[in-house]
Amino acid sequence: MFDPTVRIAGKTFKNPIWTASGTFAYGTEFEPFIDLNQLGAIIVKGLSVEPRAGNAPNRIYETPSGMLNSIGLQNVGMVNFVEEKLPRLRKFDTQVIANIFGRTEDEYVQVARYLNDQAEDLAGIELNISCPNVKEGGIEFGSNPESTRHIVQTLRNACNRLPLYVKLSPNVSDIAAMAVACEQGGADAVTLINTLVGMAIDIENQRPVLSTVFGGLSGPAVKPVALRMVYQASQAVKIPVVGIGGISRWEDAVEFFLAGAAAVQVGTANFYKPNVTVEILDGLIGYSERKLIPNMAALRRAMKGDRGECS
Amino acid sequence: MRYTTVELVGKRQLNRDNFLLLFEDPEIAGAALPGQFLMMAADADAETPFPLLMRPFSFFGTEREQRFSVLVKTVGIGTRKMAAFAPGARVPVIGPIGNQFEVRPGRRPLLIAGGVGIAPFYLLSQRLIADGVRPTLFYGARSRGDLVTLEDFEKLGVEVLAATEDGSLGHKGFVTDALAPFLSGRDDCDLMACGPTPMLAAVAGLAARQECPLQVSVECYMGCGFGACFGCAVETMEGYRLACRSGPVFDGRKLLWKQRSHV
Repeated sequence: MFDPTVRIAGKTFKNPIWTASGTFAYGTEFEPFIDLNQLGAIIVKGLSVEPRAGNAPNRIYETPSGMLNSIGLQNVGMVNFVEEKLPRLRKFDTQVIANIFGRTEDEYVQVARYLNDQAEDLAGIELNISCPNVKEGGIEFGSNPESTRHIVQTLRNACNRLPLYVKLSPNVSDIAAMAVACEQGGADAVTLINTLVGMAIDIENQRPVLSTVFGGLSGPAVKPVALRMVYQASQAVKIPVVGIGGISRWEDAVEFFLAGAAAVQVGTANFYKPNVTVEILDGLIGYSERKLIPNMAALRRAMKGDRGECS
Repeated sequence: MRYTTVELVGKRQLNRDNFLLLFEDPEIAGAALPGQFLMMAADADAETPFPLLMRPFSFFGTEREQRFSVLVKTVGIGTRKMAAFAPGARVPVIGPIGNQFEVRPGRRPLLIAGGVGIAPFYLLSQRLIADGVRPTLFYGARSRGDLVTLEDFEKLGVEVLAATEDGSLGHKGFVTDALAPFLSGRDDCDLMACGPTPMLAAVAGLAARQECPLQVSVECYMGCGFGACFGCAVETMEGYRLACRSGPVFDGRKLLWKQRSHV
């Protein structure tokens, strides 16, 4: 029998199939389609201090084997989440991790502290550092190893109770260095990847499709990049790596586990197949039993051969 | 609302680009309300579908609470695949989704459709006629060949006023030209509009000037269709609203009309 349990930073997850922030709203939208009790964890839509309305349309556009999004981090705000959304999620036997972001370091700290104090039963906070720092001229918090280490350290100090995950952007030249910076800053785990930056142009109107010109690319198209980065990050750090990027079938998830991921998050696939997470879980269990793999740690070790000598 | 597969039991080609697809599913057909839509996949077979995302389609009509139809115009690879569905095909859908057109007793419903915007009005007309109310339909398109399902509305007993840009049928010009004189002197009309954004904006302007209630069924790019992605934002005077959660039918007087690169 395969044991799909995962333990990270003192929290137990019934399985490694989680849902990605921004693709599962606050969870309850999927109640008509799946039994939420079956999920290992739900990562809720990114939270900020104040509610945010998001960007003007167009916010999304399909591209080959994927989609661009420029939602604009629309969310109900940290207070409404704790007061209205979280109580509903508590009814389900699944872990909840809160993705958070800010426009300044102080805002990140404010959200983290608030959740640390008001939502002790969360399984963690996931830091979205692919956000522009408005105080530093808009440069992303996670744009270089030193600023990454710094923001993680600051949040680590502010947040003493909840496990700290850091969600990494793929739009960097050295993902391993970013993962190491997070580990040095005191993160409990890293999750990667966030979206790749892309664009599309409407040739009839001769204008960019998205209102913000650029948007984040997700879906099956990004999987090879995400997988490569998860592999590299897993080689570079000892803390758990959670893999995200184009997972739409159980086979994809297994690839990420073999690459070293402790858990995976399914995102875009939820949009066109609302029950995909349950299918992936079933497929993972079937595969592991067929391969006589007893648990997740054994699955992560199963890929033999050349480990790390990649150019 | 469910995620399920429905069986294609009939297909009618209306012109070169337009098709009516008939599906069998008593649960969905029994629940569908005028104005609601469903998300439909173009590709049922591949593990990774192409196109990837489902697309939204209004319910066109229902039959005996057993079957429902959707109107598909072939504008790209996805809709071309849909038009080529063979009878017996099982198509993944999510639905019914959204709110419905609100019909007030004692009011005269005026339906204003542009092009494929005709789609939600047949089901609405079916229900109105069954309730003893005769709607008036203003239906505009480029040419008479583009006024698909016109005969279906006439057979139903709807009062139809056509407008074509080339004058091949009805009024020569836009559907709003025919609407303005009709409205003057009347204060018992409830307008419902569906079609290209410039048409909707024009109808909204007219409704505001004539102080006429207006409901608009909007169209926009959708990611999931059921409220998870926050992609289908519509600009209203009260801020952004999601078309799938707060719509697709909105109070037309509260919408903001800005030029977008699509629709």
